[in-house]
Amino acid sequence: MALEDGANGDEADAIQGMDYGDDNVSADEVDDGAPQQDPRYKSISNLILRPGAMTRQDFEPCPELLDFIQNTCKVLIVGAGGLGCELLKNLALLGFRDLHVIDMDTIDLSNLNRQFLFRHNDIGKSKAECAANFINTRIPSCTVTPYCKRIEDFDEDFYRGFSVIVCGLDSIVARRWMNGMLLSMVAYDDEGNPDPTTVKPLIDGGTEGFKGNVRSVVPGITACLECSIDLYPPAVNFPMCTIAHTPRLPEHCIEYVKVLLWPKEEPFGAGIGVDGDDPKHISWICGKAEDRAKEFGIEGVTYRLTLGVIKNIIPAVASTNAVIAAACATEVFKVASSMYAPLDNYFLFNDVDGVYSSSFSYERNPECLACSQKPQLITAKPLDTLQDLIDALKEHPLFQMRSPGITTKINGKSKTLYMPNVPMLEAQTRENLERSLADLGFLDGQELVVVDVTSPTARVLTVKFP
Amino acid sequence: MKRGDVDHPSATAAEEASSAKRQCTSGLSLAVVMEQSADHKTKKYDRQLRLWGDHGQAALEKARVCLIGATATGTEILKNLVLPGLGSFCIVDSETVKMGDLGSNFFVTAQDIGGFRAEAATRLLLEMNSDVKGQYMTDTLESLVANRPSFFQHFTIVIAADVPSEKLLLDLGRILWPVGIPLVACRAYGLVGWIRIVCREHFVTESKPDNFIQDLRLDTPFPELVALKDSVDFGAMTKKAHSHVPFVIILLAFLEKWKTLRGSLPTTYQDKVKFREFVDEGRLKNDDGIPLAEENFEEACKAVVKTVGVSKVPDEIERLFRDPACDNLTIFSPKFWIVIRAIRDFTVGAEGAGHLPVSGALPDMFSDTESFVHLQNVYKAKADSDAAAVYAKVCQLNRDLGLSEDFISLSEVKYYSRNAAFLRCVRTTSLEEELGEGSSVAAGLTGFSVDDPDFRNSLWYVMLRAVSHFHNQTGVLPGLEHKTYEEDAVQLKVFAQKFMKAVGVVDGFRELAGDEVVARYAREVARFGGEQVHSVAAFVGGTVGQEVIKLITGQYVPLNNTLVYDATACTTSTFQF
Ligand SMILES: [Zn+2]
Repeated sequence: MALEDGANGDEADAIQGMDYGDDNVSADEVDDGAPQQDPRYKSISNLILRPGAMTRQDFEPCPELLDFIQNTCKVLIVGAGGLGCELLKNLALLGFRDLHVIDMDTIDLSNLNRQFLFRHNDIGKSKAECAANFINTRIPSCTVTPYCKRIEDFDEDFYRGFSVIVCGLDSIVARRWMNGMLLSMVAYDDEGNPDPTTVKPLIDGGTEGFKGNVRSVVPGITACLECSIDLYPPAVNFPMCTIAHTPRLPEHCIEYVKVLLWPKEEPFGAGIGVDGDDPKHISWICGKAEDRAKEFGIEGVTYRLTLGVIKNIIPAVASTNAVIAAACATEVFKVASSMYAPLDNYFLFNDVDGVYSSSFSYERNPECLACSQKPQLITAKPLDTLQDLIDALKEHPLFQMRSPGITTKINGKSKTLYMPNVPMLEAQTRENLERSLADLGFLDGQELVVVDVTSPTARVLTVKFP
Repeated sequence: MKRGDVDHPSATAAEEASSAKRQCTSGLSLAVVMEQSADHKTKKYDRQLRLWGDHGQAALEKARVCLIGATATGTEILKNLVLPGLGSFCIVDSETVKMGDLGSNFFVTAQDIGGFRAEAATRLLLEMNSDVKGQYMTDTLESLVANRPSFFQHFTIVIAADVPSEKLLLDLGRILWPVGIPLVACRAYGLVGWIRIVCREHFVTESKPDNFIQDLRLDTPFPELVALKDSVDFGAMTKKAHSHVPFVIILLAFLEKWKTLRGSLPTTYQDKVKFREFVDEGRLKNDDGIPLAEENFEEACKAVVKTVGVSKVPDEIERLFRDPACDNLTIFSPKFWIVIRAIRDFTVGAEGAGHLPVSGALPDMFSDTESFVHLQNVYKAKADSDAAAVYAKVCQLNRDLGLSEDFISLSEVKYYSRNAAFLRCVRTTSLEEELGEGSSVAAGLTGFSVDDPDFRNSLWYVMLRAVSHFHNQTGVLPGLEHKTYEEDAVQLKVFAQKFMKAVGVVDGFRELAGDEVVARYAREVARFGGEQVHSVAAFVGGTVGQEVIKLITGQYVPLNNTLVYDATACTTSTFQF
């Protein structure tokens, strides 16, 4: 049903208002002996109302559970992209009726090969809103509430309102932020045990080409997303000397144009940076990269490759998204119903050669920056500059920060050392970058408060001198 | 829209829409329209073109898929094929839309209740992508199989979703097997999924493995490579040049030295470790005798284990060479086998001297531009000349077979030649062999313990077979009625036990699958009540979608031949039945 078809939408609403009591259901749909069921959701109600022989001990089949799934359980879907569209469909058809979706992106032509809730006419519109409209029209019993916002625009109070959170994101930073938010919401009692009412389960899906994974996190109890942060692929960075002096691959030529030539030539005006979504920008880079490649005898610079390098494109296809989102949705259903033991805690899928999957349990990392209660140590030398320390925070496999801002206390007074994301503060603190830690007044055991986009909360680090 | 028919297709919504579009754009020149649409497609399909390329996309756009069963599984499969731009589909389904469909199938709406499910599904699937054509038939599978078996021969692939009758599946298999059309049968049943691929012979021209050992021919360098290595004099180099020699040249030079000293190349792991130390010794030293940090030498040391002593024809390719189809070429032989034979003749003959044609690909390595590009060109030129030699053999074979000499083009041969190490042929058993009398299915049913995922999935497979037998006997699925589902479970258990006995499961399996264990599985399956849980259908739909794309494009290796998915535990197992 096309979204713009208002008439169909109205009819669908009329159906939603129908009462599916016995009177309205034809005889073959009625199942005597069964508690009253909505015939639409027979598959789910069979599972919920019939006792199982392989279900968890604490699973109690009862109409209240069905009512919980359908009317009380509030699920947040983070991301309305390839996984998000699938998740909305899957959860709606599993009987969840109170779905919420956050995505600040707008629809692009290249989304249409997999993000099946969007059409050509929707290009440029909000993903969250289009996805919500489509599901609300197609499955009128379900209400999807869209938020065309960033996850950082919401606070604990917002996230506390959900029963389960499921992420379908392509950004590692956003995943880490969400993970940090859910961890920060956990309240502990005097013995250090988490208060279960403050624990919000997180199901996280990710795909790349024909590979994907699902992770299940019970914040504060099982391994969190950062416990295995070293699993995240490091960003591909070509060494500057290769780009500048000894290019060998077409990618090196493209990087050269982007990193060195663009700022020098400013082809689209002073101060205008590369816009990966502007075909004129990509064409210019591609042309210049071709020139450079020719000069060095390198083959293979194409428009497609240029676009891929500039936008750091991850290949994506409908089928893998479908598989991973389906596994995520099943996990949400399991967590919400306690019918079966939830995934413990990592599922890997790859269908390049046959179909391969495996699941295994990641241990909690006692050193984890996000979920361990331990103070974090970072070693540095007194003569290191503040910039050295910031680089270490970015490159250290346990930290992998993006643009850390640092404050500390010197002689009992609070002092901002560097704050990259607030222009005025950045200008005021920039000179500190070149100063040594000793010069800045650091002592062994200096405590730093570090803020970064990878976490909603500030992190306290202790600097250890050798 | 009326009932469609493949022989005389009636206009579908998509055709109407596209003819409307033609009218709108008739003012523009055809060339402009075509160029715009090509550009539009490139952008729309960008994220998948990076996986299977323009040639994979062209194959997909030419493919015609028949889906039997517009069930939740069936429509999810088609969704995953319509989105990436499948050529066309035809749905065969005689059911009407019921309330239950609304709770599991995304491609029906409340307004469609009572209408044909095939019609609703076709309309709602086509609405997603105007590049795709689609039609439907409301005949039963039974009548098509009985009265119009030739109908199925129009398709590239046939998919049978949630067909409960083993007999019907067998009949369908008997139609498709002789004509070589792949059949993908699948089912989402409660919390269990099942996929079976049936194809007599499928050729993979690009298996695209994630991890592979690239044969750089370091042990057996071809003359041009030797000449390049000989032109490099490590002793007469500046410090800068020394630290920029590509690791391939370093290893070639040190292998030669090693061989002169020791009489043979390093083959064992221990030898390779010693050789690595030998290479490391070759780094330049400063005035104090301390070796300099040379990145190229570091790369060379790291590469030793993976690149030295690996020059051999991969086992999979050896198997292709030994295949009777490779020996017994006829005028009807597929191109694949003619080219494999030519590659074999090349490999065992003087040109290859035991080696496959060179692929021409070179991994990136620390080097100055000139040395790298030069090295790359040496490999490329060798790949081209090897492909040309293979092509000469292909032409000769074609002539000998009485085929036209250009039956296979040089560009096709180049493609095979470059990918020689990644060619595969997949042959599954027929459905007859699995479902018919004297089935050897028991050998595949395994497991170490009752908790072993492979045991669990084996037993789910047994239960799905039992469900089919239950359906065959009673005409309904177990657990359909709430009041009798526990009785159905008891009956289902008996069917499962009969099945295990009939196929003769191995002792170990029989011991694990004791009465109590089978009873639990039977109760669980009866609990499903024959209903489809959407997320399970979506999982099966995603997986089948991908397998169909593999079968259509000849890229990546399809499943051989059965997958069972257990959503309760989030595991999958593959079986070769
Ligand atoms: Zn953690």
